[in-house]
Amino acid sequence: MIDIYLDNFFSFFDRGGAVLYVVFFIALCLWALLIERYMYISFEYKQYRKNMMDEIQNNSYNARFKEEIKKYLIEESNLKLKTGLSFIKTLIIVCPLVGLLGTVTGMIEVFDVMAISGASNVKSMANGVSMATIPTMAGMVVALSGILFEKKLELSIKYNTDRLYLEISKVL
Amino acid sequence: MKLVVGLLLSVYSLFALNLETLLGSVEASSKQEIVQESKRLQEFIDNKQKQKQLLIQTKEALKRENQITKELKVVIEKNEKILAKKEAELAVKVGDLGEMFGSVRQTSSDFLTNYKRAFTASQFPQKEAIFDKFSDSKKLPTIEELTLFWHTMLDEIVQSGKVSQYPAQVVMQSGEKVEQTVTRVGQFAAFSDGNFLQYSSDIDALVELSTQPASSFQGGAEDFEQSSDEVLNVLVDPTRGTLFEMLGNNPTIMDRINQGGIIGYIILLLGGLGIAFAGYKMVMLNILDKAIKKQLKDVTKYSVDNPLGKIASVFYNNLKDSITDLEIKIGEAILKETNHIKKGQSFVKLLAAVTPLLGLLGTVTGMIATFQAITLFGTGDPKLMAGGISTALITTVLGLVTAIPLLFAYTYIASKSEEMVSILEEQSIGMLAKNLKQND
Repeated sequence: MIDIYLDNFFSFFDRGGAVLYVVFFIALCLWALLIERYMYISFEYKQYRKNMMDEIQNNSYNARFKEEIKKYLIEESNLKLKTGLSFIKTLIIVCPLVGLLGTVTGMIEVFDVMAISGASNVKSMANGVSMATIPTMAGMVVALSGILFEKKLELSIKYNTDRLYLEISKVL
Repeated sequence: MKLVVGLLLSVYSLFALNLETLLGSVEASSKQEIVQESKRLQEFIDNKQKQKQLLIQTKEALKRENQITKELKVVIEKNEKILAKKEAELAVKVGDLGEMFGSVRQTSSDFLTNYKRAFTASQFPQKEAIFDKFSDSKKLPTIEELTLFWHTMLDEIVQSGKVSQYPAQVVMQSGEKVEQTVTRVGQFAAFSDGNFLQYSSDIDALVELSTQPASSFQGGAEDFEQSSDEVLNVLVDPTRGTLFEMLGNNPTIMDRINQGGIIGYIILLLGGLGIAFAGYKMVMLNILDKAIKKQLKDVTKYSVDNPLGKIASVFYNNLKDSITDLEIKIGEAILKETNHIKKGQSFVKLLAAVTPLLGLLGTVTGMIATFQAITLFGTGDPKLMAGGISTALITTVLGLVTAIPLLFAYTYIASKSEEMVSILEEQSIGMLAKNLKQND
């Protein structure tokens, strides 16, 4: 059963050409980064927040610079949350572009075939056409799937930052 | 005579002619002539009898010849009859064999056209003469010749299924003719020293392909030449050279770039500029980042060789001021530093945005060229349109290929500088203040 799916998978890549591998690589990077961010927010960040709150409660800071210190702490945690987010965004932007690249290289293939064997042989062009369409579709799918979770991630970062602000304000 | 008279006349006319002397001499000469004529006439009359005799002789000869002709005609008729009989006999005897000779000629000329294009022709050039003889000959071939014919054909079939090594004339790319050891794989490929060859029937020699297949295939061919009985993979052309020929038509990357035209060059130029600038910016930001990170470890021991250190020095030197004064002073220092960090960042972004647009421009100009070709020549020849279309597609590819790395570079630069600016702008005062308390 798995063999059949695996076979389909590889023939899909064969038809998509080299650009499809690039799309696949981008998709892997994108999802690895997204998963890493979610893991960070749900596990490591909680630990970090707890440590910070402990430190604030145990220390007494110069009252003159209370606002500044609060700003510093929030900014620092925000920066930690946002690490890699812009890279994720870029990957999402690049995905359709790579798909477009696939379209164009596929069309070049089609026209090469046309120049050699004439316009009458439609079957021989099919290879180029599938090379043009499959990466485009794959690029779109990857970008759309990424955009959904990226927006959710942004929201959760904003929520976490706001919550931290409130919590620090209570103590400091 | 007339000439003499003329001459005399002219001589006399030159020297105030004496007409009378002239008249005298003319009369004298005409008299002489009359005497001669009468003599000739006498001669004719004398000869008349002789002439008659000659005529009789000649008539007799003619009669004899006519007699001979008649006799010979009878012989010819007889011979012709015999010939017709013999021919009929031959036709009966040849029977179906006549057809066979026709098909021998046909087969051998067909075989010759194939053989002329085949790699085996380079190994056995003498075979061509044999087939040539059969296809041209008007004579009936003998049994021996017929046997030779089908033996040669059979030999050709056997040879075309073999992998063999033999010395042959090879025309190099430089044009010189060299004798080299050639390895031939059936009718599908031939190579020597890893270079793939093609058989040219025009010059009866193997010619080095002007565009060789990828170097990995050439290496494979070289291994194949040196091995004896191992099983090895080697590149062959099942279409007997057509695909190898097409290899020469296949555009290289340089050809492709040239197809992009002037817009393609502009895109590449901008792309190169953008990548170079982004690289410079990345190195610079990393150096600054390292200095700031080093300073972050301990802000109390500040040094003024990095942005954070400079801000720290302003902070510590003006600690006694009121909070607003201090903030203004620090703000000034921060502005100077962040400006330095952010500089040039938008240039990379601009280039990343402009190159796909230029690609689009190229697409449109290429399509315009294509449609011009269509209005001039119609859609009959796809090759006429191909020029414009390839410009259109290549510029798009170039635009995308330069834009994608530029986008990544911009992301890197932007996030790095954003991080640093955030450290300087938002965090620096708080960080310094936090440490201040602990020091007290």
